[in-house]
Amino acid sequence: MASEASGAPGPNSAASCDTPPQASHGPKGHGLFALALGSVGIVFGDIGTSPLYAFKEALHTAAHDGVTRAEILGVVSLALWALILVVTIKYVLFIMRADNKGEGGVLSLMALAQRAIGKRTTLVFLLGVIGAALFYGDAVITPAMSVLSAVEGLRTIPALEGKISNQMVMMIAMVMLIGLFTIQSRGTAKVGQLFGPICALWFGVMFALGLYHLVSHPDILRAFNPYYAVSFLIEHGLAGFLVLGAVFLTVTGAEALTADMGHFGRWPIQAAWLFFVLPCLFMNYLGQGAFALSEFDAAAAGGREFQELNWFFEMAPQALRLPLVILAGAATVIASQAVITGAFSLTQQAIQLGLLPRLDVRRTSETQSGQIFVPQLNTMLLIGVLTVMVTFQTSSALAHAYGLAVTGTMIVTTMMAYIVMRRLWKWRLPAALAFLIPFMALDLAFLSANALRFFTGGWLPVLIGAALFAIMTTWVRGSQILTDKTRRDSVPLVDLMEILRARAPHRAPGTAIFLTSDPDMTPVALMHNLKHNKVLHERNVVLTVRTAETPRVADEDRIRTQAINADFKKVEIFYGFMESPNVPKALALLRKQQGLKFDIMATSFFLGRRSIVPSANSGMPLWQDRIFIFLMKNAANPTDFFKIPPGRVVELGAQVTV
Amino acid sequence: MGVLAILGDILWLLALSIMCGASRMAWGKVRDVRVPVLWSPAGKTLWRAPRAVALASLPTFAFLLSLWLLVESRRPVDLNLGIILLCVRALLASIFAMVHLTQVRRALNQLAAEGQIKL
Repeated sequence: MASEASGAPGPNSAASCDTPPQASHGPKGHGLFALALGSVGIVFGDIGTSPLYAFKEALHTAAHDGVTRAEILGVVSLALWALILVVTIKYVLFIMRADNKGEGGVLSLMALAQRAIGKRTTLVFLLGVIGAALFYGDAVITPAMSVLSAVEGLRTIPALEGKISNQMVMMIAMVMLIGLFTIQSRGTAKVGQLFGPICALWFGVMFALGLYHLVSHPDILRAFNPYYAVSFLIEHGLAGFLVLGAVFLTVTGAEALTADMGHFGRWPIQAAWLFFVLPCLFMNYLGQGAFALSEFDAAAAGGREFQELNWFFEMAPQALRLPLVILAGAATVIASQAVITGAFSLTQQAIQLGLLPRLDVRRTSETQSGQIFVPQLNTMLLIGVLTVMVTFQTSSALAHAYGLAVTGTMIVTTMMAYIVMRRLWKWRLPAALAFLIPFMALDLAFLSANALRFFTGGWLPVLIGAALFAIMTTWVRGSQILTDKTRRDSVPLVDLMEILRARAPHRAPGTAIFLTSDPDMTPVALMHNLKHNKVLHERNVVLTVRTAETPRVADEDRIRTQAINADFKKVEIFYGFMESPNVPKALALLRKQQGLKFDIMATSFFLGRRSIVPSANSGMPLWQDRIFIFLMKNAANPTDFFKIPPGRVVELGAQVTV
Repeated sequence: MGVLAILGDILWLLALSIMCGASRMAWGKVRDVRVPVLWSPAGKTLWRAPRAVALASLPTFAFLLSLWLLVESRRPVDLNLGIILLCVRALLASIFAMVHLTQVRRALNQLAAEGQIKL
């Protein structure tokens, strides 16, 4: 038996134009420095661990037939300009301004774009779903990729040379990740306090290592001249495009700049990027380039072939390699944690926006609202990450899979930002096109470069994304069909009032609350109660939980009530898409705000439960029906989801075909 | 709006022509061999398919997708959504063309290296 979408967030449950204003939410009470330091740990963990593999992979792709000085300069120049154009100009200057009441991320932007247009449009909705689906593909690959690349650093320790096999690297990485996923249920609030300082140390070490090599080869600074990047691409044709795909690894994680805006605020993230993270990344990539130039010169002088190294780790003096590997391990675990937390947060948003069924979302901290844990997703992510590790085995192999999902999400972000610019910010068409055309061209270049790797691993995130896309669209479509059917089979509430006036049923003492997603129609549970039990409570409340297209809703805008007659009252409770519904708390607020008298322990909550039967003629193909039924069966119990005391719940069932 | 839709049609026509051209060129060269379709990052062939599946499935899927997009682009939408839809169509057209060309090129090179066909 699956439960009725009683008050559950669904496609129809989101408030649109009548969305109440939203509470101001911001990282108040903390100084800019503290927030910027905090953001270094969470926001920049992913992009900050890219130097471990990005330069190595890009140079490896460029050097398959030998390497020249111009090629080393070209690769470094591409990396620097990718950071400047994609992260600094596109994200920091433009996309971060398109926040939804302080929140960012692809679904937040989708909600903002929908609000800007003033109605739900299929195109924007599909783009948002695609962006979210691709994020899950990214969430599976990022932990595997970053932790593997850190553990591979063990091979650069002279005492361990030749003793570390691929299997051993994989085992160590697996143990680290299993540990990380296991502790998720306990929350990471306490450990999280160390993330900022550890990552700050990580960036400091990257800067120092870069500087150490830059001093020996300052001519690498010529890579700031974009001529080297452009001429590299022109001279190398298709091979240059392949390198561009690898260079894209330098900017993976840029999405986190907007996704975590709600936690830290725009200014701390922008300040941390411009004044700390970007200089450290610049210095490190320049240092890796300088080191490669030194090796190139040494190889040329010695008459031997240029040897590819694990550039990041071998930049460090041998004595420091072990501590560097340990620090890299810690940094990659933090980066993975950021992606996992991002996936939890995205899932919460997707549930609230009606894109996914209700899942068990647990709070792991009483004080921090962002600290959540989704057990089912945690297990699925762990299985996904381990499968990916076993399949690809090395970070170099995984580099083929990385990138395609991230570029997809970035393209969706660019398109949404364009809509926000035009409709919300009222930019004139030429100005908005001046943003859209160059950045779409840039995104297209990166997407095409990554598409070349489609058949050698790029299919993986696309496959994960496609599966998630199918699940989300099936859930939305199925919910819509179910709502339509329920509406068709129900009696309008006003008509019921007339019937009850004509034929009054027996009255039972106390209050009955009927949860429904459609307050204009008689809730299924109320119909069944009248039909089979032939009773009506003294006081009856038709309760609907709605999701606003804003991240949070202020308490004063949380509840709307409308008295229908002496016996019936309609209550709507609004939640932002970043909030977890709590019906008893909302009812307590109702009591406080409007003086409504009722005792929660003398109140019965009536929920409708629906048994879904597949049907080929109900709007969806049978395979989608089966997916939908599976999702319904595995959805969290509404009693738990809405935090209703289980002892006060009565469930009445019906059978529906989809 | 009409101009944007026609621009999208032209891009898709180009992409489908490129894809069909590549498949047609490869079709004559590949006879009675199973064509590589999927590789591991290390270069190992993961999946070989019959000629028709390997050379025609992606263009067919792309063609069906282009038809759906063509219908969608004829629906009345405002200018901004029309521009975004054009971007989506342009991106998909170029990506499908590029992915198909990459696969055909790589498959033919590999079959030639294996001595199964002559280029």
